[in-house]
Amino acid sequence: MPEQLHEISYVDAGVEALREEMRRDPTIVYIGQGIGPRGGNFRQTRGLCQEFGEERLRDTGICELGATGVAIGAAMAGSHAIVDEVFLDFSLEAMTQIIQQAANICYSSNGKIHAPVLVRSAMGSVRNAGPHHSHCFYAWFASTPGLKVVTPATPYDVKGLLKSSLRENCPVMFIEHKALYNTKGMIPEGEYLIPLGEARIPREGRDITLLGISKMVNIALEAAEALAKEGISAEVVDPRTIVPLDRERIAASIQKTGRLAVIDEAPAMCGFAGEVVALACEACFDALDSPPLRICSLPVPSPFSPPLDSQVVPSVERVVKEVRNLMEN
Amino acid sequence: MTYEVVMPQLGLTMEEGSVVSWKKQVGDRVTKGEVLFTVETDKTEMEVESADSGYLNSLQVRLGEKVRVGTVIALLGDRPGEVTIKGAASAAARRIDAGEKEADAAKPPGKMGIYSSAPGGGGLPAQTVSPEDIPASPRARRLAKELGVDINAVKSARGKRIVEEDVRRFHESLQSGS
Amino acid sequence: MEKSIAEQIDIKLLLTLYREMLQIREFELKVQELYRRGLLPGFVHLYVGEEAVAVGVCSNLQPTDLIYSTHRGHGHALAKGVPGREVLAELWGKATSSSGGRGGSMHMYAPEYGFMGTNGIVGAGIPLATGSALSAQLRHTGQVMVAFFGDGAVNSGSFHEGLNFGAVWNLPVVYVCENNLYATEMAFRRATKNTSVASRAAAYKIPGVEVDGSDVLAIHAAARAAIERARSGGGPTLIEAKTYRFVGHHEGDPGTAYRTREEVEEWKSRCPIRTLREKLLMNEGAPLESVEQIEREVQQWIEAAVQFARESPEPEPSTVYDHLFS
Repeated sequence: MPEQLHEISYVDAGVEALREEMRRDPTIVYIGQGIGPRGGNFRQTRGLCQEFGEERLRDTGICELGATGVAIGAAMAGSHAIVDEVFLDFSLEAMTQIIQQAANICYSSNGKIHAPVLVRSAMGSVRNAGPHHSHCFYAWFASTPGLKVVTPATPYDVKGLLKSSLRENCPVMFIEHKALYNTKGMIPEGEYLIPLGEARIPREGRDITLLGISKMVNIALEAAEALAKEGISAEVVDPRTIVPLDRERIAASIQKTGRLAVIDEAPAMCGFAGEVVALACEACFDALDSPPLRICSLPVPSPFSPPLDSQVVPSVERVVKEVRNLMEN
Repeated sequence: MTYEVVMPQLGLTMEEGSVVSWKKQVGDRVTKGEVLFTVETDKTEMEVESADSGYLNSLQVRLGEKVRVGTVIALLGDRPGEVTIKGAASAAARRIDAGEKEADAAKPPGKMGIYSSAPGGGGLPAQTVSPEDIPASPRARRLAKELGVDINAVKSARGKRIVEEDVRRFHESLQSGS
Repeated sequence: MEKSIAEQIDIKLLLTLYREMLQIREFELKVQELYRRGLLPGFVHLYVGEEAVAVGVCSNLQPTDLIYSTHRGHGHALAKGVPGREVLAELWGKATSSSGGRGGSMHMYAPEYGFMGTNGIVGAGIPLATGSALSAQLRHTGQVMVAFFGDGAVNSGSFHEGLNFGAVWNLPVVYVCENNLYATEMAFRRATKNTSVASRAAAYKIPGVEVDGSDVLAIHAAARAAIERARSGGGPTLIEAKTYRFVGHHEGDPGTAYRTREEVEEWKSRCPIRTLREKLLMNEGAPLESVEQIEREVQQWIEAAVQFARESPEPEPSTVYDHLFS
C-alpha cells in the first residue's frame, strides 16, 4: 500500500465501497430492512440513501424470502442487486431462493442468464445474542455449487472485496462479522480492488499454520503473539474468500510449517475447518509433522448466559492451549 | 420361550440399583402386572411389576447386589425350569453396550483424532513404526529418506511421535560422529 | 345480435390463438407418447387442457417482456415464442436447445424469447418476476413481467411476499394463477378456507380478476387489460384463470385417484380448443379450409420438431463444468 492511508472502521469501509460502486454502476439497487434512510441496523449503509435516494436503497418489511427473490429477479433482468439479510441467521428464510434459484440459474441456462446478486449479512456471536442471532453457517453456501462466499476480516479487505464482489456476474454471499463492525484499520485513499480467491498472510511463522476465518483471524493473531513468547512461531493465514478458495497459498503455508490448526467459529461437524484439513491431507501429506487440528465452536446452540457463552467460541486461551498441546505430542 | 427381567430405569438419573426383596419364589407362576420384586436406588425404594407372564425359573442377582440399569436380574419361562442360553448372552451384550456407551459419553466430541491411541488416527495409511512402537510423521519419514537416514534408528525426543526435528538431530549426531 | 367486446376480435387473431393452442396440445400429447416409450429422461408435467391460459396471456406480450413459469411450463414456453423443436430438444436432454439440455422440463430457459424459466419449486417465480419488474421500473425499459403459478402456490410465503412487493412498489408485473383445482392430489377446497384466489388481491390492494380459463378470448381480454395497466405504471393485477388439466399431475399419475371421472369429462367437454374451433367455424364464418390448413401445419410442425430433437446431439461430457459462474 504505497499511497496515503487513513484509518476507517470495518463498517465504514463497507459504506465507502458501496458509495463508490453505486456511483460507478447505476444499475445497483439495494434492498433490505432498515437500509434506507435509517442507514442500516449496523449502520452498514449510513449516508447512502441521502446520496442515492429511496429508489435505489429500498427499505423492506420483514420478508427475507420475498426480498431475496426480488433481488435475484432484478439481477436476472439486468440490474446488479444487493439484498441485505442483516443477520446471517435471517438468510434461512430465503434459502430456497439462494440455493435453488440464484445458485443454479447460470449453469442450468447454459450461461444465458446471470444473477449478479450480492447477498449481504453479518454472522457470529456478539453480546450473548443467543441461538437465533449468532450463526456462522457460511459453509453451507460454500458447499453449494454456483455461489461465491466472501468473509472479510479487516476494513481493508471489506472495501476491496466488496467492490470486487459488486463486479462479479454471479451470486456472491458477502458475509461480514457483527463483532468486527467497530474494529479499525488503515486503507489507501485511492480506489483499489482485491480479487476474489486470494488469501493473505498477516503473520509469517515456521512451526505451525493457524488458519482463521473472519473474526477468528484476530484470535489467531493474538494467539500467535502469545505462542511466540513460548518459543512457538505461528504463521497466520486468512483465506478472505471461501469460494473461490486460495488452495495454493494455504497449501504452501502448510508445506512450510508442517502443522495446521484451523480456528473456526462454526461447529466442527461438516464445516469448513474440515475442508482445510482435507486440503492438508491431500496436498501436504508428506509435509505433515502432526495431525491437523480443528479449533471450533462447541457443538451446541449458542447459549445465552455468559459463563456458558464464553466457552463456546474459540478464545485466545483455548487456541494457545490446544496449539501448545499439539506441539508437545 | 424365556423372558428376561431387567433392572428397570426408574427416574432420569438412575444408573444402578439393587433388588432388596423378591415377592415370588423360584418355580412360582407370575402374571403380567403382578408385583415381582422391590428395587432400591440411591434415591428411593420401589415395587416393580412383572412385564411378562411365566414361571420364575432363575434369579440372576443376589439380594442387595448393585447392578447397572438394564442388567438381567431374573428369567421367566413358558414352562417351569426353562432357562435358555440366549438370555444369558444378551445380558452380557447389554452389559457390554452399557459399558461402551459410558466410555463414549466421557469423550468430548471433536477430539477423537488427536487423542485416539491408535497411531495414524482415522483414514491415514499405517505409519512406519520404530522399534519402540512410536509412529513417525510423514514429514519425518520424507526427511529421513532425503538424508539417507534409517527412520527406525531415530528416537523421539518427546516420546509420542518421531518428527522432523528428531530426524534432523539424529542426522547431525551421525555427522559429528557422536 | 350485438357482439360483446370480447367477441369483437378480428378473425386473424382467432386463427392465431387457435393455432397456438393446438400447437401446445399436439406438443404435449407427443411428449406424452415419447415419454411412455421411454425416450425422455426425467419426468414431465403436461399442460393438456390449460392451453387457453398461456396463449391468452402471452398473445398480449412483447418479445422483450419476460415470463416466469412453473413445473408445468411447456405451454408457457411455446406461447412465449420458444420454438417447439428447442423445447423438445431440451426435454430430450440434447445440446441444441437454449438450455443445452442442462435443465430439462422444469429448469428450461430461453431468455432470447423472454422465457425466464420453468421452475421445480412451486411459487419461486413469483418473487423473481416481481424483482425483474423492479429492474424494469428502475431502468425505464417499459417491460412487463408475468408470473405464472398454480393454486398450489397461493398459500405459500412466496405468493404473499411476492405480491406484497409488487403492490407496495407499484411494479409492472401481472400475476396469473392457473387454478386447476388440484395441487398434485390436494384439492384446493381442502387446502384453504378461501377458495377464491382473485379475492386475495384485496389483501394487497391490487385488482383481482376471475376469468374462465377455458375461454381464450376472456383470458386474452383480461390479460390485455392487466398488461396495459402494468405497462402504463398502474401496478400489478392478480388474474385467477379457472382451468383444468385433463391429465394427471405428472406423467405416471392417472389423475383419477383424487378426481371423479365425471368431473374430468365435464371439463373435457369445455375443451378450449374445440370450443374455439366451433366458434371459428360457426359464429365467425371462418372457412373450414383455413382451419384444416392450420391443423395440417401443426402436424408438420410437431413432426419436424421430433425429427430435429431426435437427431440432435447430446451435450459433450467435457462441458459438465461450464457456466458455473459465467
